[in-house]
Amino acid sequence: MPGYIKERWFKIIETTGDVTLLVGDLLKSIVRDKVDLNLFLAQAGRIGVDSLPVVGVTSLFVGMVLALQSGYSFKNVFNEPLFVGTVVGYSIFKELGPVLTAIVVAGRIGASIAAELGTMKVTEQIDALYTLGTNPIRYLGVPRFLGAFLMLPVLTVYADFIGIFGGWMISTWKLGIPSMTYLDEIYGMDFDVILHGVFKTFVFAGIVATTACYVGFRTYGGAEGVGRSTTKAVVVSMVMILISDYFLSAFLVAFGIG
Amino acid sequence: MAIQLCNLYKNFGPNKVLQGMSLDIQDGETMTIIGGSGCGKSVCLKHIVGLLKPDKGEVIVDGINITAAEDEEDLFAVQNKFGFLFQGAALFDSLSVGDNVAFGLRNLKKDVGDSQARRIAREKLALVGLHDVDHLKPAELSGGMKKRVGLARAIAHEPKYIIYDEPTTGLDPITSDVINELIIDLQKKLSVTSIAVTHDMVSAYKISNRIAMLYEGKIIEVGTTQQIKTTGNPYVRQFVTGSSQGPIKVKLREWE
Ligand SMILES: Nc1ncnc2c1ncn2[C@@H]1O[C@H](COP(=O)(O)OP(=O)(O)OP(=O)(O)O)[C@@H](O)[C@H]1O
Ligand SMILES: [Mg+2]
Repeated sequence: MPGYIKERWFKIIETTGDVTLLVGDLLKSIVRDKVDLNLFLAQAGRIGVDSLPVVGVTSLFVGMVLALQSGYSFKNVFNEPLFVGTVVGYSIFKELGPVLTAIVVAGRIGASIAAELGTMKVTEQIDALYTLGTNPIRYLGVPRFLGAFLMLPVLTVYADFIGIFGGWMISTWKLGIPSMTYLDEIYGMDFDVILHGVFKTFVFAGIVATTACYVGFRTYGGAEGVGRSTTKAVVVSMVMILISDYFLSAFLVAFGIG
Repeated sequence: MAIQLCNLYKNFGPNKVLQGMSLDIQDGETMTIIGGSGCGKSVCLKHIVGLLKPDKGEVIVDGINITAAEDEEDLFAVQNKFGFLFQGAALFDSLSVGDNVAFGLRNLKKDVGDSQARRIAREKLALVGLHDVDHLKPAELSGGMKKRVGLARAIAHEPKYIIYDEPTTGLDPITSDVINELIIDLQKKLSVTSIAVTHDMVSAYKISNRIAMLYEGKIIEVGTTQQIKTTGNPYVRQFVTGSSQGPIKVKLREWE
């Protein structure tokens, strides 16, 4: 094996190990130390409230375009816009709600966490925490980690409803589908379908928070380093969200959830 | 012996910073480390509190080898004995000046109440010559003010050891002297042990019991202030007299 490929592999294994250690430290701190409620609520507020507008707009238009595209496609095939509610419902609940919300949060919150922690790292504020008797994992990591865990599912459910609403608007106004037909198709769906989506968001929350914290805490090289970390946090989170989404879906379907 | 650095080696990639550095610091003394810019003084200070781990060698604080401390609880217990003034102050941007200074009190001293912590913070700020700044954010301060807030924060929880990384850099001569007096005062009244890094020889002579010079990763001379003033070592003499002529060559261009 050429040297540089070997090095790449070492690097991947090393990073995996370091990330595992970080997650271990986070979990250890959550279990052992008292979680600072104020810090946790502040982060949950920031992650949740700050993301509401952008998540809302994103899912509204996604719901709208889903209805439009599926409506016209079915019109071509069946001469009638059938199953629009079903298509919008399944797509939003199982995939687009959770995945798009996670991606928006990765861009909005993951970036800001990485930039914030990265700046603290390069200006030695993280070192200062240690010398003042504070574990940065507990003080900075845990509130962000738990905040993401709490808020991503909530944001996803919110996005689901907005998306369904967007689909309903287009179905009734533009495709001429009776409101009840659309809604009946939505109501007729299994609860498992929503569960399928919400379950995935916990994993996505873990990906976004862990990546941002990991990258942030490891920032070096001044302002340039902070920029690098921010980009890295977003790109890595997004790619991991999409990759893990496939496997999670396969896994959940295999277990009959959704 | 309060703090012992034994044969420390530290590389950052190809950059060899510490190469067998050893230094003993006694209880109650103020030790100043001098040396050229970029020679590894700040790196050395971070080793003392366990913020950096040496590639080789040991750091012993109160008989505990902190480089071997596997459990982070042990490391925290040692770090809590220290107050650390960072070269760049390292104030927490998100907290007010008052909260910055009170931070250590709230975390390290469980018996200090909130209003008491605030009062102590104001007292310590007054000690470094700052009044009515506790509600400001660090971004609203000048460089010298930040440094002094950093100093107030480092001494607020009355640690046993205080580490000063360039306490007077960026301060006017009068404020510098106020800080020097403060450092001496802390040593006299609370008998703290201090380790300082400075380029300011006036301050170094004033505050130190002993001075050590770091050069090319090693301590090349340790002595009392008087011994350093009258040293026969050409490297140390060149440094303390601040001359460009002598055995130490500062590289101005890469190809020299
Ligand atoms: N975290 C780090 N990663 C990589 N290199 C580092 C790191 N910290 C310090 N260095 C390198 O170690 C060397 C010594 O740095 P240090 O900050 O200790 O210098 P210094 O003696 O304090 O200088 P000054 O008087 O200018 O503050 C420098 O070459 C610096 O580039
Ligand atoms: Mg330095």
